[in-house]
Amino acid sequence: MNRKKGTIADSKSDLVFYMVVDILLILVLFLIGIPMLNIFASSLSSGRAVASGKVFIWPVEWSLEGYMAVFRNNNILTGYYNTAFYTVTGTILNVTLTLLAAYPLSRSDMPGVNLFTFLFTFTMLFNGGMIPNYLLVKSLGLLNTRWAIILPGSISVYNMIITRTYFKSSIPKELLEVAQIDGCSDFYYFLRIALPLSKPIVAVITLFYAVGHWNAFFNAFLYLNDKTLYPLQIILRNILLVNSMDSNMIIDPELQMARANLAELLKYSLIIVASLPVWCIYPFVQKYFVKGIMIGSLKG
Amino acid sequence: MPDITEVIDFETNAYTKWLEEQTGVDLEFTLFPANASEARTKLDVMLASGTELPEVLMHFDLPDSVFLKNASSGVFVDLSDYMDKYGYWFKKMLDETINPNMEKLLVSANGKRYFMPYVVEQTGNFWPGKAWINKKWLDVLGLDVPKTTEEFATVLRAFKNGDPNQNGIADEIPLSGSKNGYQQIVHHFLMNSFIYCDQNNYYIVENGKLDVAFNKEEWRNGLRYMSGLFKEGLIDIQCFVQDSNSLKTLALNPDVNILGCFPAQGPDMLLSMPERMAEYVALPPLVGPEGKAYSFYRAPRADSYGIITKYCKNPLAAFRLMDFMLCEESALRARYGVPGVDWEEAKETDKCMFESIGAKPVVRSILPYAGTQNSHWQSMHPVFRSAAVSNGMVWNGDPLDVEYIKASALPLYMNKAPKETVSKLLLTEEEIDEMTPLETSIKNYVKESSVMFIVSEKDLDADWNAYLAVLDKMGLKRFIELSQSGYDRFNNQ
Amino acid sequence: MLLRASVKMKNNTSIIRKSFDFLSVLRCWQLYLMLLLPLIYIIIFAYIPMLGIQLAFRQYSADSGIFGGQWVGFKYFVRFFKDYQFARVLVNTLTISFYALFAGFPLPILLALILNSARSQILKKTVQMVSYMPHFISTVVMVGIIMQVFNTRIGLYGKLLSLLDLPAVDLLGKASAFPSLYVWSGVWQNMGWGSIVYLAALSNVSPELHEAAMIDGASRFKRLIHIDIQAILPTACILLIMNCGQIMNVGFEKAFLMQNPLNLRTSELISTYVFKTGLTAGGGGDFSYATAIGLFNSVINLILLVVVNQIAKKFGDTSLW
Repeated sequence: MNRKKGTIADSKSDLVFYMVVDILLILVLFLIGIPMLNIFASSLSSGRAVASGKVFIWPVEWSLEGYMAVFRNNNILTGYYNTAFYTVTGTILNVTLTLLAAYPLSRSDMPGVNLFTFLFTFTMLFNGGMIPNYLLVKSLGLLNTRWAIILPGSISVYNMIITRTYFKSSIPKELLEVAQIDGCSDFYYFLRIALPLSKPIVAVITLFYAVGHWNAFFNAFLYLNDKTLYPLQIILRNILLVNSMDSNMIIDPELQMARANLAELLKYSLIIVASLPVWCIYPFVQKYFVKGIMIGSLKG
Repeated sequence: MPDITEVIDFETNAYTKWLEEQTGVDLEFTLFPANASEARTKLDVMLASGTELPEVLMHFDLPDSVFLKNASSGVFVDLSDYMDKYGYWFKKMLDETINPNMEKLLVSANGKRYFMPYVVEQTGNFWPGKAWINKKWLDVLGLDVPKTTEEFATVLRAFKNGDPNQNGIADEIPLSGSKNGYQQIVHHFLMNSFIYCDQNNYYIVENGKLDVAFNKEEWRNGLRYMSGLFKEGLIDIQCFVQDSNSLKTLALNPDVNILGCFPAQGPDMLLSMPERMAEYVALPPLVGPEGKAYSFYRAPRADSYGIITKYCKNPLAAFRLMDFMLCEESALRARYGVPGVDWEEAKETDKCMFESIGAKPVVRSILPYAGTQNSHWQSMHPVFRSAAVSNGMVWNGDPLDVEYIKASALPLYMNKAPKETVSKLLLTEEEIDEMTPLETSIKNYVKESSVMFIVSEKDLDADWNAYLAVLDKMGLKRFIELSQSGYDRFNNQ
Repeated sequence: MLLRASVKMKNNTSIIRKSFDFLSVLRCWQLYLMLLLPLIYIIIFAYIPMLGIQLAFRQYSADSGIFGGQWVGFKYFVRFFKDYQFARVLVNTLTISFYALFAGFPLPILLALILNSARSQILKKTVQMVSYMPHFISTVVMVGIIMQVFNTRIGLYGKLLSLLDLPAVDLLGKASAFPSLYVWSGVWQNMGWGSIVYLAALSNVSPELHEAAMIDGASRFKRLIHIDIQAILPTACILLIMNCGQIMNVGFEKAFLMQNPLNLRTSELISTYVFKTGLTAGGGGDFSYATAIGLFNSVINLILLVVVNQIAKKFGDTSLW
């Protein structure tokens, strides 16, 4: 908010208001920040220190054991490359499809708009399950290809509805009416007027889709067999070997014991390795949330 | 087979090369997710959708139900003929094994044999239900290692009140465990002083008649004993809540040790603090008020690690490959790695890890077992590690070697199970379908109730009958009937 | 604005609303074209696999695949309803779901409003960045953190209680505490990430509105209520409706890891129950049963979604359809 100081005096209630806001924010900062510091610190501590609970918010017995165990795996680089590829191509496809669906559905003057909306929403509720989806991917010949990662799940109806809501509520109807009077086609309106005004929501769904791809493993786990196509998360999960154990299922106690020690160590460094790139990119996305986008539009 | 990170690269792995040389078979690998349940899910989906599977499946350990359900589609090849005609090392295994039920374990309810087994006959695996007590504390308090449940209670009280870690604070936790760690469940260990506690399904067998332990008076007495301990604050409530990591954190408490006693196969969780690990000694099964002192017997198994699918173009070659994997040299290479580099043959003068049970040294290991390596497949395939080989690990003489500690404690627990135990139930497809929901509900209810009785959220006098009533309603009788059917079928093969 | 207009027009049975008006269909041809590609996509990737739901009514067997099994009608549903655990898992799932909805819904909104009102850019950006981080914590680690923090001996919780000289009540083993632990840790984890959508909506508020309000003498707080909240109301409504449509979808991993014999009374959910009966018992995947339960969940979701959507239509302008 750009408030010019001194134009209108801060009333007392305003001062209280801002103080409360600041206090709450600092509270949030601590509530969330401290456990996060703990995770960060744990990833940089030795396995021993972590296991004995010595780590609080600062690393104890500095060690890169956790990270080394992760990077020792040859496949990490391939994983990063693949995930980057899936994220970029996937997100482009996602955002395009989402926008193509969200805009028409935001036009309540389009006949059948409710029916179409229902059609889309319905898919959020009902799913055939793993096997039919697998059969579909198989019959489309997509098994074990990159497309198996990018295509299924291309549209998140959730994201699409958010976008539609944005179009409906943030772009004034007057703009459309004026444009229609001027003889502007729907395509033109969409591309030249509605879209540029929707930078915030486009930024948001881009972020959501990108993060979704970055953390995704399910499609890869089910549809891929070729190691060279694996995204990062699969490789990381293989390293971590999340084991939910029934003592009945332990076949080789010797191995399990040794693995458990390693897993403890890796848990923390894995989060950091997987999330760091996303944390770095977010600031770039954030600048689209800047106010003042609407200023020129009503007059133009 | 699973893509586990311990193996650097299956293609160039030393074991792979050796196998290819010895058998002339060229091996190509298709890797599945490393997590066992994820790999199973993926396999299930592939099966259900009729997708072509790899020619040979290794490490999947599919249960009978899968074999039976897919029997009609022929997706899994019946290996019986191959075993009879071409099973050279296979037959040797049948001769050498110490498991009298070995042949029976290989057969499914429809009479077919679908897999080549993973068999490890290390005695330590058969008697895993140990417990460890802090000897240093006992010495400080002037007490002996307790032998009976009464003595144990006294010791725990002393732990709690006598400040054996001598720091002036009553911070000692006499007894703890974890909610699901391997052999770390407290009431499983202690129950054996009242009635035999089979950790799988709590079966007890007498004269061929199968029953369950958890509705018996002895079980109730066991719960009463533990409930008493709990009321006195001697059992840490955390042991029902925490997982193994939290238990480990407890044990590794910095500055001063606060854990008195815990159940586990070995004191491995204290590995990073050797001096502290040395404070513990094995606590033999306690003798209960009726003179019982059982130890959990984990019957030798044959896990289905090697399966041939119908997509295999040359099943005979595949079989012979797996048969070859069962030979002793393969067992050594598979577990220990490249001879001369990762391991050596034991010398006459070497000491044996399992000398306490009279085993002879066979192999000295150099390569550590669970680090990343490229010498073997990390036990992901059929193998027969006979008792001689499994127990024949050379001991480096260090009394603080955790494997040695576990091995020497073995005699305290061996042969203390009832004469008859359940090793496997052989059930038909319909029986499995019926049994599954019963088993899940009943087992979970028993687990939940046992703990609630111990912490007094349920009263052993007022609520016991209600507990029994619920079990009946859940279908306990039918559960026992089905189990009996499976037990009989297995034994009468 | 737009929506109020259309409601009014609906009451006048305007021509525009009739679906089969050929002229208006023609006029919107470009919109239909835009919609075409996404439509094709969902038909292929969502509706075709949906046919697999019929497996819930067939007995799956390996040879007949998922379309050939014998028709058994509602056998699996009955089996589920008759199961001893049915009532319990249903109640637990719904409890957690509604609790999570009521607790988790307002907080991202509040956070967005507060962030938006903050004057210090540094504070704003820092809190934003930090609040997003927990979203990336995997479930396993999250549960590990919960167990660590609430440990009465060494956890933050225990230490705090001993500082305040209060008796250390063990929450991890208390069945009544499970829903709260589950829900609030989820709120903690997703609050920041969930505020992003609202921040985007807020960023669209024209500063002129605020200036006009300031001239009128409205305090910042008043402006928050009348301008900011109005701006995010449509988004909030839609999200609330959509969340209601997910009410039965409580994931299994977190509950499963947090379960222990003492809290099982409240921690056994439909999802964990399905997992235990499906896999642990080595059933080889009873797909029919799993599909039936999934269908049951979906139907409940649908019913709730439709009901809430209708309520929203009656009381306001924003609704899903």
